[in-house]
Amino acid sequence: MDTPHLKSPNKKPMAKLIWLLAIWGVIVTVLSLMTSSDGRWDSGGGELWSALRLPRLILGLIVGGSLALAGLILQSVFRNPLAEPYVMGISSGASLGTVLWILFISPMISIPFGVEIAGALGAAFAAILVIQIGRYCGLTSSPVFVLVGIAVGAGFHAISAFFLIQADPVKIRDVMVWLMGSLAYKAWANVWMTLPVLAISIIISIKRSRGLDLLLLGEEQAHYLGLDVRKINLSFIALAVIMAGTATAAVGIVGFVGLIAPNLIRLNLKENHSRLIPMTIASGALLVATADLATRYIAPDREIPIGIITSAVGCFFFVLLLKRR
Amino acid sequence: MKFSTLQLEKVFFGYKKGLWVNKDIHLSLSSGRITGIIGPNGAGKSTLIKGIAGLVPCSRGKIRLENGRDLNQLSTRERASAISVLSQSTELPGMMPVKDFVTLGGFQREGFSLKFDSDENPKICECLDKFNLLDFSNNLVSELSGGEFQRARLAQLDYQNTGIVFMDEPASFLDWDYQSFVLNYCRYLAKSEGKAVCVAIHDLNMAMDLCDDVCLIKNGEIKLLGPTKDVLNEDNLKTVFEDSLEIVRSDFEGEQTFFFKHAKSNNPFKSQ
Repeated sequence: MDTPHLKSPNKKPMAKLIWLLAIWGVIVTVLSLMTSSDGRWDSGGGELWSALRLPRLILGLIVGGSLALAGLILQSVFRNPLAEPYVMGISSGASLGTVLWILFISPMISIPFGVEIAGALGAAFAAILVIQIGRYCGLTSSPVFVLVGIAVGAGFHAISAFFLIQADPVKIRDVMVWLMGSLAYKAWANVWMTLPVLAISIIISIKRSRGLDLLLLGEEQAHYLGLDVRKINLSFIALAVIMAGTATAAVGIVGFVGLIAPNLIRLNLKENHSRLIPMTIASGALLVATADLATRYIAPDREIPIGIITSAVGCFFFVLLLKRR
Repeated sequence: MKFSTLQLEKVFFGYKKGLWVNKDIHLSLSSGRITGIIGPNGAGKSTLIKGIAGLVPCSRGKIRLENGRDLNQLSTRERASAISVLSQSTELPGMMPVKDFVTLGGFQREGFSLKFDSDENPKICECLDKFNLLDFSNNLVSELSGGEFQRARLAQLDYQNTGIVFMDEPASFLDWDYQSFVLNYCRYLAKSEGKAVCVAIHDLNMAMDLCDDVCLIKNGEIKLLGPTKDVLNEDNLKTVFEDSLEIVRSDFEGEQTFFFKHAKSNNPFKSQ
């Protein structure tokens, strides 16, 4: 009798996607380095690159990668394609932290990275609140947690708006600049703040990616197969919150990336998480870098928030993808 | 080490303290035997299986493996290497190829370093072949029919390869062909591989055909436990199912056989 053998899998989609991302990456890198902040083509000089354009590009890639990976993790843990830092209320938590910091605390004390720290703490607080409310309501099914996230996000948003409406206009402008998300005038310090978080998160999530694969079978089946579901859920949610928190703290709110990037990859690549993770990070990173580049061309005379581009392009692109599915 | 006996002594399972779903359970599963759990809906059959698997808290009693270790003291992974469970249903992991779905059965052995290298792994190929899944190995699980998906779940269970196997309604929603496939697999596990198999089952005829022992369960308690032929008789079954069933006796090749059918008398919708 012949020994049974498997048909070799179709590896084309993966190879095609790697090529696509690589070409996209090269184009975005070249254009980002060669485009001035007012949308003109100039090669710049060594100093211009090292002080402005390179940190801006790298920070965009890191922030996009972090948000995309956080989105992928949240979607797998909650088994809901809508889960992402923005929808889960984490970004709204970061905004509230920042609003409170800029309006009430920064006039009294001044510490380095105060805004960023306040944003990260707000994100963590929102995540803890979502989990605790979910538990208090006796939710056992993870997909429903997204509803709690939406509710918490709306509540945080309302509180932020309440404080903002009463603040003086100069402060409101400070807050709005941060809230809209922008990569302009970011320095290497922001890169060094976000890069280690992303690097460590990538290593942990790839090493533990079988946990995410198992969670796709549902928590009950994952338990029967030997996964400590509670532990893996908590550690992955913590990882996503830290990533989304630091990314949001570094550049402000960039919506939709955590939603688009993982779904974009999942629609094109039917693979396990150890392959989805690098692809999702790459696509999220390039998405934000491209959005940043677009802001320079669309409005050369002023800095417009990248969140506007990611959301506008994102929703259009997303409907197209859903139709294709 | 592979365990193939399990002993439950005075075990209580329940989600809240004081509100037990299963009370005072004594049950022993042994190598090479198929034990059926029979009882009406809501009697606590699934909770019993979930409790043994560690999903429902066990507040009293001991669940012992043959080396005397208490199952509740084991980590989730150690427990999954001692017992495997085919639950009533599993969420459909849409984006997962069948071969990866089956490979996840090996998580309890290899942990997070588990590799999806089914192309080079002869054990996965054999397992897929055993369940006629070789042609579907690269298909997504969401593309399978109900019967094929159940075969994929059985293949995953088979790849987990534990000495004690629980199945919760393994043949429900399946056609005749797939039902006999599942029943034959249960027999193969017990008789050829010497495993202890425990099956929660609704179909009494199937239980009569398949199980060596059965326990009748009602309101979370085991009412009766013993060899199938002794337990499944009219008087015993009426204590659990009341007047909802009738027993038809027939002589088949000189051996007296029972058939169970639904009683017509206990039906509010009966035709006049």
